[in-house]
Amino acid sequence: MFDLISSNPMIQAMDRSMTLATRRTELIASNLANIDTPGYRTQDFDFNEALKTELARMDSQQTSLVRTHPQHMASTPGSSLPPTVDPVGPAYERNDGNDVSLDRESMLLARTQQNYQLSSNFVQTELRKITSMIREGSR
Amino acid sequence: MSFNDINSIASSGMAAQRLRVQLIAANIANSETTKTPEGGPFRRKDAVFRVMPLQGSSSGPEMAGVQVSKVVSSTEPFISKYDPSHPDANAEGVVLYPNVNPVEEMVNLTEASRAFEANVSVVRAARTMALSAMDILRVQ
Amino acid sequence: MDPLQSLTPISPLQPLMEQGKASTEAQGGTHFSDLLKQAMQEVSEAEHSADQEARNLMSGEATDMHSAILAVQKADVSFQMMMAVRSKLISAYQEVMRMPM
Repeated sequence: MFDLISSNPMIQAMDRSMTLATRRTELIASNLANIDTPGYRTQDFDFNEALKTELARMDSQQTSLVRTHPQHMASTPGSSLPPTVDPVGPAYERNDGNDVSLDRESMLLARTQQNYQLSSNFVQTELRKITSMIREGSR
Repeated sequence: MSFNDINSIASSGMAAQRLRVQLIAANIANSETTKTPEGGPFRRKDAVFRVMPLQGSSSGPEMAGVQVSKVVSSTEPFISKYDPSHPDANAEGVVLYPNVNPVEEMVNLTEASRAFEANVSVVRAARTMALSAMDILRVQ
Repeated sequence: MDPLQSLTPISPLQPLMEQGKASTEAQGGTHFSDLLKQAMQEVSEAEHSADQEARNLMSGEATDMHSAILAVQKADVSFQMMMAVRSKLISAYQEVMRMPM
């Protein structure tokens, strides 16, 4: 009854979004570090589809207020991070077998970072509302 | 924390590219060195990059930094020039110059510095994201 | 707004409803409690809309940042309006209860 965060759809949705954004940033970091490694292939996943899948799963689970998993906010029980694929393919492949595109990764990095910040700001707005509700409601 | 992992990966990238730049600088500086302590002209050096798996990471094998596994000397042929008056000329009056192509080195230098900057931007992005998350704590 | 109802006393508004009925029925105006009900309804709709817009923005369904941001702000403003209406109602009720009968 007191867990206003687990039952808040906006915060839960943004939590999923930030988890996936973090994961994508990890992969982008690996890609950029290995841009000159012979044979290395770009790693990525379809962020939009992964998020939509996560949100659909979240909606169908409804609000279950019993959280036994210790990593509740970091990752939901039963959810797994999406597998990585090479979306760039042979089009960008160079002589050393590496297909990492600096431009693509840089662009995705900026976009992912912005996405993460936006999600965080939406969470902050929700929290402000919740705390003001608690404060006003106790008067 | 994943931002720590991200920073480790990015800094491994920066270290590798920095080493590469050092080798390029040495190549350019020695592009006219006709005699080395090992005998013979200077041989162009290059770094070989390999994937470096993160230690103690919980995120799986996809996340990896990079390391320079070895520095190799180029086996490409030296450049010959006919110059009998040169002190290092051989019996036929031919001087062997290093197998360094300055134009190629400059292109590599540009690439290496761009790659270095890209890794720096990863560190910056991770920092901004961490600050965003921490802002959630500041809501009154 | 289930969390709200678990925190705030809505029932004291019942006697207020009767007062409201008595004083405004002559003018045929809206009842105080209806105002709050309407405000809460608006808040609920605005929040649902904001949630959906934010999700669409994050998952790439929508490309405009500003519409999601404005939707979130709209829900926030509706919420604050609702809280203000609720405050007014509560203090009006308390004032009425203080009147010597």
